[in-house]
Amino acid sequence: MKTLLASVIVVLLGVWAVASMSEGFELLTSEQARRLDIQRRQPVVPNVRLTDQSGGAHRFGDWVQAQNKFLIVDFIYTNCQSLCRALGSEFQQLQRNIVERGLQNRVHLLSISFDPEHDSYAVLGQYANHLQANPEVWSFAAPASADLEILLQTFGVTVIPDQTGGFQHNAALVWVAPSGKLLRVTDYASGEQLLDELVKSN
Amino acid sequence: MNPQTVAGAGLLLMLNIPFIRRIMESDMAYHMLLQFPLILLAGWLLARGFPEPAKKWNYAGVTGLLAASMILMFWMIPRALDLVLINNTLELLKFLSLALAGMALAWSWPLAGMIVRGFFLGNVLPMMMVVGWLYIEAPVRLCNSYLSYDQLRTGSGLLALSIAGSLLWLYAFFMPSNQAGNSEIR
Repeated sequence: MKTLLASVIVVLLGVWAVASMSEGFELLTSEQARRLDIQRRQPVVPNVRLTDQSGGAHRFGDWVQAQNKFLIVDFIYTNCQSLCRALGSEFQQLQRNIVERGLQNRVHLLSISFDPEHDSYAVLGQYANHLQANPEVWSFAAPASADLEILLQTFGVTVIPDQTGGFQHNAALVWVAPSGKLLRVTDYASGEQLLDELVKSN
Repeated sequence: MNPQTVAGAGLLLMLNIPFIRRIMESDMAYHMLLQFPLILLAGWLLARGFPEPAKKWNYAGVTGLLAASMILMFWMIPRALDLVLINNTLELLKFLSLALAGMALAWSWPLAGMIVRGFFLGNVLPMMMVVGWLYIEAPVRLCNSYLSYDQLRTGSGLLALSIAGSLLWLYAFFMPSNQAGNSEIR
């Protein structure tokens, strides 16, 4: 009897621990936790200094509000060989899609580099040309090195150096409202679908 | 004091030296496949100096083995692995719970019969297999703090460990001469 009671307590404790770690069995990874957290809290973009690909200096928060558009943000570094390529081609496709539907007044793409040491505005400009980015639709920017930490923290981006001198990072699309609030984080291949939702909702 | 208990306490302290902890947690495979088993071992050694407590509450080792498998299951959640790197409270809980799992194993394994042991191993080994397979097959990184290559190695390691464990178990099962299958742990 005592053993049964103790076992039940142990199982309950175990279930409780797993439930709290998985936010009630909703998630198993910290990436999912990050997405849920952002969706629930909807934090505002930090007003950090950003330099765009033509050398223009901005304050992130002010910039978003001044543009008064939905922003789709991804994080990249120009030396990237793997995941950012995928992000790049996803954004190229989104850019085409936005232009075709005439959405450039409502949606803007922003690729932010987390490697400001290397990615000066000139490097970003070359990268933008290389990807045939249309500046009306797709901007590139890098934060001041001192602001990088707070920026990554707000967006929940973890960057770790890998063995080949590059970085690995959690790649996703972050949807920012014209008010500057982070709305949601989605897989990097989900752009089209969310664009549809955006059009339908208005 | 029992020398094994001293060794266990020493091992636990050594694993907590910040420098050693950092090295072991810098790599997902070291973290899961080296640090975890070493903490378990430390707990196991630690418990060797004490008699099994509260046998009435732990009939046939059921409670202890159940607790150990619960703790092991919890620490296979990728988010938990990520969080201990930035959350000190959780890191402390990790050391305490895994050491406790080791102690529970040391106290409960000798009490457990074939069926209870089989239940425990039949729970833990497939779990390791599934998690290992998941780590290998996942198209994305499951831990934001670890490289995808590390994830692959950890997955392969978990898979290898669970297969080795299963083989040992089979061996022990068909070799009853070595005292009722105690060979896996002792």
